[in-house]
Amino acid sequence: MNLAGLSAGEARRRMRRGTLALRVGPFTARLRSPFPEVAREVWRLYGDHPVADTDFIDYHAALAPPRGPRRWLRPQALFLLDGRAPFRPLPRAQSVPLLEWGLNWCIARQAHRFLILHAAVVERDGRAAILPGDPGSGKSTLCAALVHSGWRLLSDELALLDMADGALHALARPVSLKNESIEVIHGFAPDAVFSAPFADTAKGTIALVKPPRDSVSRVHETAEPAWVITPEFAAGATADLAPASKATTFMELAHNGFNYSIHGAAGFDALVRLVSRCACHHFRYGRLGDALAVFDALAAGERG
Amino acid sequence: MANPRESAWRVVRPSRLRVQRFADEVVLYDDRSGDTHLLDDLAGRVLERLLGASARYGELTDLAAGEDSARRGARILTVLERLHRLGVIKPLRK
Repeated sequence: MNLAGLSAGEARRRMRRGTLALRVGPFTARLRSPFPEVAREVWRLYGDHPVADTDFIDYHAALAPPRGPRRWLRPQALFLLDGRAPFRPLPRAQSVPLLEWGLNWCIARQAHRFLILHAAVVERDGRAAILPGDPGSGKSTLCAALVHSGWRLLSDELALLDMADGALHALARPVSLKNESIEVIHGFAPDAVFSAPFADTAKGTIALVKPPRDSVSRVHETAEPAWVITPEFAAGATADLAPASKATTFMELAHNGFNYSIHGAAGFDALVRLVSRCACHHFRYGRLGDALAVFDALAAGERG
Repeated sequence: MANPRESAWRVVRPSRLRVQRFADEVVLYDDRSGDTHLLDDLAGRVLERLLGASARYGELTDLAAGEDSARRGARILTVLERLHRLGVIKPLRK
């Protein structure tokens, strides 16, 4: 059963009791929170994800008010993993982004059967494009537009490269948009389901976009890495896909590897295999329509 | 550091290194430090030569054949100093 198969009230009750477990790609997360607004957004954004009926839980995650009188004066939320708080509390109004960041942290910190790179991943016809990018590069905006234009979402933030066979695994979690890109995607994909906007976070205003149903239902399908494309958004720029040095791309991916150093030589070898098999590009774009045409040409084999 | 022009150079424990060439650049992983480095073509060729066998400065200058002849020596010295600073190579004791 998917989460949307539960009523919003039942999802809220299960989250309050800590009995709501969701399958999120290769992982199972149990979520607990007394905050009804968090339960509501989880129910909306993860509605197509399966409810897990298992005792094998990868992450016991919770959002709770910190103790002390401050919680009455200025409500806050604390992210907890296995009952421990790895971060400082944030304003309660930022609970939902905090949950997303916390889940990212859980995966990046513990899922070492993967080489985990900070990158979006989209797929078409079994071939995946890895989009590494610093904040402001337009990575998530491009990712959101692609997955509402025929590409499948594997992940907006975490590329999961299987250390055993080099395949990319999917998470299909919500796409996190910031500031101006929220309105851009609102206009581009008017049918997309958005969370409420969360203002004044460390990254500005954030809104989460529900992953397309098809991406969630195909989350167990892996994809073969085909391209590493480093996006750079420049307002008004003409789309320009230029070959990038594989060595420079390698270094960028290593820099963006959450657990690259943990894997040591095996991580280096995995990254060598990845970069060797992929066409590497730098992609400058200023308009989503142009960008999508370039990606469609890539998928059609009209470009390298 | 001993005079780099007079020393023979060798790679420190080659088994701890991973080296991969991509066209005219090389990436290098050092298992001892956990560091990954990007080397240009010349530094990559010097390292690849030294992985094969130790060599003296004078035996390496031919690797800079594409450089201005007046600058070849200086370029090789710069590369040797950089690789030495990274802990990847060291001079052989006489």
